[in-house]
Amino acid sequence: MRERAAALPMPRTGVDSALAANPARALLRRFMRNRSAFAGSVLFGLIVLLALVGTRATPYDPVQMDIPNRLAEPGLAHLLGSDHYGRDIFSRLLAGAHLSLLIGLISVSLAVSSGLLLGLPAGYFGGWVDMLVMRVMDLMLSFPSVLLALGIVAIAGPSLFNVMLAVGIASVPSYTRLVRASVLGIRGLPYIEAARALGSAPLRIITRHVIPNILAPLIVLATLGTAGAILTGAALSFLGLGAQQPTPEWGAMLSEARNYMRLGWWLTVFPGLAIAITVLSLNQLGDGLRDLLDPYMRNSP
Amino acid sequence: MSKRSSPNLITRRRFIKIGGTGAVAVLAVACAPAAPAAPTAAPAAPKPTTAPAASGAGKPGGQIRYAMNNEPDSLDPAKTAQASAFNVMMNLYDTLIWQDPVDLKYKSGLAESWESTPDGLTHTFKLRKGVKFHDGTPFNAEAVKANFDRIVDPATKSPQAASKLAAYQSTTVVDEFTAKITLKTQFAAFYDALSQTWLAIASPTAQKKFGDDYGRNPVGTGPMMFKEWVAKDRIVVVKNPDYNWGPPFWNHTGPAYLDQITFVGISENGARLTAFESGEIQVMETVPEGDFDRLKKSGKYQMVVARTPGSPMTIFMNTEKAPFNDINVRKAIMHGLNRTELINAAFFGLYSPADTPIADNTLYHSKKAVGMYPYDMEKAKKYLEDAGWKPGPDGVRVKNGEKLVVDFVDLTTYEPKVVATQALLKPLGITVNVKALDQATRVAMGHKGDGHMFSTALLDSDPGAIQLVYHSRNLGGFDWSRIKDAELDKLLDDQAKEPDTTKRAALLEQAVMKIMENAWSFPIYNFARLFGVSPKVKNFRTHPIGSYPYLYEVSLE
Amino acid sequence: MGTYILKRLLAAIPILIGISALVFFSLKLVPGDPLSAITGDAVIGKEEADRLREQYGLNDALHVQYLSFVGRAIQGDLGRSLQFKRPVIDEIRAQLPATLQLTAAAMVVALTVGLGLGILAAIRPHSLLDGLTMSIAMAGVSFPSFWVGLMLLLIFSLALGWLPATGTEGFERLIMPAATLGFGAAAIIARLTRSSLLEVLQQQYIVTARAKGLSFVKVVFRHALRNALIPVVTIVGLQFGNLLAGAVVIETVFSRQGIGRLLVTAILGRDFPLVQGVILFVASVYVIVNLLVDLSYALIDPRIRYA
Repeated sequence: MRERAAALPMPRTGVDSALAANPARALLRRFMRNRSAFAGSVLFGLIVLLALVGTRATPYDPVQMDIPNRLAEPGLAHLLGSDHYGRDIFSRLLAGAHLSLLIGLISVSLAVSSGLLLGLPAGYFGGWVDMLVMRVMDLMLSFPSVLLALGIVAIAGPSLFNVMLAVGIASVPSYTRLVRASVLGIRGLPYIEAARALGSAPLRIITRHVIPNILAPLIVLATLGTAGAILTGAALSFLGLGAQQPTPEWGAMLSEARNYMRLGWWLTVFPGLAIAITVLSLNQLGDGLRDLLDPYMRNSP
Repeated sequence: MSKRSSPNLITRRRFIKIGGTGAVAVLAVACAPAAPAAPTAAPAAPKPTTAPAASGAGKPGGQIRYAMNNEPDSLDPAKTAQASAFNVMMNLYDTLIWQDPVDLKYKSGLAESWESTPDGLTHTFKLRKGVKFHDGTPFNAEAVKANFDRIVDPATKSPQAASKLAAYQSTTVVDEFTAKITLKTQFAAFYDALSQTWLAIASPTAQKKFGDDYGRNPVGTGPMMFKEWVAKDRIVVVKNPDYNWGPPFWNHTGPAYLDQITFVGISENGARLTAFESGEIQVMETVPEGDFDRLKKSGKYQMVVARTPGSPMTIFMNTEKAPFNDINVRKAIMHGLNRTELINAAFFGLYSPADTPIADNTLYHSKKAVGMYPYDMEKAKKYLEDAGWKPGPDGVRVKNGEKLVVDFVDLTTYEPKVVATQALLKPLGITVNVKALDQATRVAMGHKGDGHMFSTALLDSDPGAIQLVYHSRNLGGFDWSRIKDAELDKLLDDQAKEPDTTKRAALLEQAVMKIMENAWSFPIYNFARLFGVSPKVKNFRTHPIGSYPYLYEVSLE
Repeated sequence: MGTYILKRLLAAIPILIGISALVFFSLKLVPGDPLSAITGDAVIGKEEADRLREQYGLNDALHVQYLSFVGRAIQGDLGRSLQFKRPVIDEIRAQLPATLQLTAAAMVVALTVGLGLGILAAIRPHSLLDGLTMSIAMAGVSFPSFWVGLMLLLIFSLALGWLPATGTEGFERLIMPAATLGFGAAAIIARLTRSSLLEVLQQQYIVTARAKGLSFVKVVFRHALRNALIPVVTIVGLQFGNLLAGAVVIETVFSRQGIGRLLVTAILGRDFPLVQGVILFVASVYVIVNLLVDLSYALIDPRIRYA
C-alpha cells in the first residue's frame, strides 16, 4: 500500500501526511461524502440483494399462469399487478433481476479481460502489435455499438447468452483503448524505465507496476460500462433477440407489455422502472467513483 | 404459398393464414347440391351462423373506412389467394351463383338458372341479361368463358382460383347468354366453388387492356367500382350506380347504400385499435382478444364474433421427429393439454373449444369422434411413463438421457397460444420452446418440418379441405404433421369425388376417426373472425364462410 | 488544410474496406448451406441449386467471392431480400427517408435541449438549476429509451389521446419518437456542455473579459461557447451513430417505417441478404458522417489542422 502511494503522482488537491499514511481509509471517507455516489452504491447493493433473493424465493411462481386473476391492478394481492397470464409482476421482476445484472457482469467481464489482453501488449510493447490491435479496434469502433451487437446476435441467433456475448464483444474496443492509453501514460515513467533497465521480465513489470495504476480508470469505465451493457442487453431482449419465453427478463417483459398497454399500464411501467433504477444507481456510482479516483486518473486520456 | 400439388381431379382448399398474408378464403359450403339431377339424401345441415337480412330500410349515402390487418397483393381474383383480397373483391365482383347465408342454398347471381347432366360432367348456365361491367362492356357467356379459360391457363399461375377449377375442362358459348361448362371428372363441390369470389367474373376487355397490371385496376360487375389504390396506404371503391343484379337474399335491391368504402391495411394491432377507437375507421378486422373484451365492456361499439367453418385451429405434431413419432407421446398431449384453459389463457375465452378436425358448424361434422380424448392429466402422465419418459430431477421428463423438449413454431400474433401451451404442458414434464416468427418463416419451417409443433386453421365451407393438411401429397407443403397414410389418402380422395352426400359423409367420418385414433393433431378451438364495428354502421352481416361482411347491405345512420 | 482532408479521406478507405470484409466474412459464419442464405427456404431441385451456386459464385475461392461482393456493393447491388423478394437496395431506399427524418428531428431535439440544459447548468453551477438540469440529464442517460417511448405513448396517446400512437406520416407522428430518441443524446450533450463550459469559464481570458465589464451573457455566447463547443462537436458525430442505433428500437416502439425496423424484421426473419445489406449501408454512412464531422472539426478548431 505504501509503495503504491509512493508510486502515485501527487493529487492535485494536495496531500497531507495523514492521507498519505492511510489512503484506503481516506478514499472511503471521501466516497461516503460524495452523496450521489454513496446513494448509488447503496441502491445498487440493494438491487443485488433483491436479485439474489429473487433466484431463491418469490411471493408467487414467476411462470405460473393464473387466468382468473389476469391483469389485476397493483394492490394487496399483487403488489405490482399481474400480467395477461395472471403472473405476478413483482415476482417476475425479482426473478428476472439477476438476469439483467448478469448481462452487465458477464459482458463487462468479457470486455475488461479482452481489453487487458489486447491493450496491455499494445501499449507496452508497441510496434506492430500496437498497430494491429488498434487497427482492429478502430474497425470495430466504426460501427455504432448497438449495430455491432445486433449483427452478432443476427448470426449467432437469439438467446440471452448470445446477447451477453454480443454486448461484451461490442464493448471491447473502448476498454482496449483505455488500457492501452493508460499503459502508454505509465510506460515513460522513470521507475518503469528503471525496472526495465534492471532486466525485470515484462510480465512482472506489467503485473506489479502497470496494472495497479490503470485500475482506477478501468474501474470507472467498468462501472459505467455495466450500466450501458444492461441497457443494451435490455434493448436487444425488447426486440426479441434475447431472453425467450417464459423467462422474466425485464426487457422481454416490456416487449410483451406492448400488446396490453390499454389493458394494464403496470405491465409497462414497472419493468422499465426496474431497469431505470438499476442503471441509474450504477451511473451514480460510476460518476462518484470517477470524481473520487480522479487524481489517480491523471494518466488516463 | 405452399407448393402446388400434382395435377389432380380433386378439389383443393386452402387456408386462411390467420393474421398474415396469403390466405385462402373460404368457399361457400354446399349444403345440398343445386343440380337437380343429383341424389339428395343430405345429412343434417349445420346450424347457420348468420341471421337473415333485416328488412331493407337503409339510408343511402356516406362512406366508411375499413381496416384489415394487411394490404392485398392483387385484386385479380385469378391471381391472388389472400383473405384481404377476397374481402375487397367481394364488393367489386359478382359470381355466377351465391350461397344464401341463412339456408345455405345456392341462389342466382350472374346466372339466373342452371342445370346439369346426371353424370355431373356438364353444367349449363342461363346468364342474366343487361349486366354491364364497370367499364361499360357487356357481361355475357363470352366473358364467362374468357375468365375461366384464363384461370386454368398455366401462364396465369393462379394460386387459388385454378384449384377451384381443377376439374374444369372447357366452356362452350351456346349463345350470348348461355354458357355450358364441361368438367373432366365429377366435382362434388363445383357449385360451392362457383359461389366463391375466386371464380368471380371480371371484364375480359379490361384484363386484355391492363395485362399484368390488371390486379391494380380491377373491373367487375359488382356493387362497388374501383377508384384508386395508393400502395401501402389505401384502396378506394365507389358506388356503382347501375347495379341491380345482386342475389335475392340481400337486404335491398339496386345500388349499394354506401357511396364509398376505403380499405386500409394496418398490420399493427395497436395502430388498428387506436384508429378504431378514435373513430378514424368504422370497421376493424381482427381485434386482439384482450381488447375485444375491453371494447365490448365499454358498450360503445358493436363487437362481432363471426364463426367460420372448416377445420378448427389445430396443433400439428411432427410425426417424423422424436418425440412425436411415438403415438404414446401424442396421446399424452391429447389428454394432457387442457383446451379450455388454453383458450382462456391465450384468447380470453372468446372461442369455443373444438376437438375434431371438422368444426361443428361445418358440413359432415361427425359426432363420433367428439370426446375421444377427455382432459385427463393422470392418463397423460401414464402414457408418457409407458413410453419411457420418466420425470427428471428438474421436473422435465427424460428418456435415454434426452430431455423431453419440443419447439412450437407459430405466427408472432399467436405467441399467447404458444406461451399458454408452454405453461400448460409444464406440469406434464414437457418443455416447450416458444418460436413465434413471421408468416413466411414459420410457414417455411412447417413445410420443412423444422420443429415439433405447428399450428393453423382451415377456413373452408367444404370439409374436404382437410386434405390440404392430412393428405400425403402435401408432405413438404401444409401436411405439417407429416402424415403418410395410404388409407387416409384414399378416404380423402374418394370423398372429393363422391356426389352422394350420405356416402360422402361416411367417408369423411372414417377419415376423421382415423386422424383422431392416430392422434395426429390436436384441434383447439373453432376459429372466428373478430370485428369491431362502429355504432354508426347498420346491417353489418357476415358471409357464412369467410366471415366477410356484405358491405353492400351496410348503411350509416 | 488540404492535406488534412486528404489524409482523413485516405484513412476512411481502409475502414470501409474493413467493414465490408467484416460483414462479408461474418455472414459466412452462419451455419448451414450458404445457398440457403440467398434462396431462403424455397424448395429447389439439385440442378437448380447447382446453377444458382455457379451464378452466385459460391464455388469460387473466398477472396474472389469477397471481391465480387464489394464490386457489386459499390454499384449498389446488395442482393435480394428473401422476405420481400425485392433488391435490398430498393428496400433500403424505401425505408431510408423515414429514418433520416426521425434522426434529423431527434438531433434537433438533442442539440436544443442538450445545449440548453448544459448552458443553464454551467452558468449557475451548484445551484438548484444545476442540480435539476443534471438530474434530467442523468435520467436521460439511465432510462431505457424504449421505456421512455412506451411511457410517452401511454400518457400522450392512450390516456390523453393527444397524439397518434403509430405510423410514420406527419408532424404529429414525429413528435414522440423524435423526443424519445433525442432525449438520450440530449442528456449526453448536456453533461458534456456543462463540464466543458465550466472549464472554459474559468479560463483567464474569460475572467479578463468580465473584469473588463462585458456582460455575462455576451461573454458566454460570444467567447466561451465557441471554445466550449469544440468537444461537443466531436461527439455529435458519435451521437449520430447512436441515434441511428436508437432508431432501431424507437421505430419498433412507435411502429414507424425505417431502416431500424427493417433491420429487426430482417434479423427475426433470418433474411441474411437484407441484414448484410442494411448493416453495410448503415456502417458506411456512419463512417462517412464521422469523416464529415472530423473535417468540420478541423474547420472550427484551427489547432487541429496542423496536428
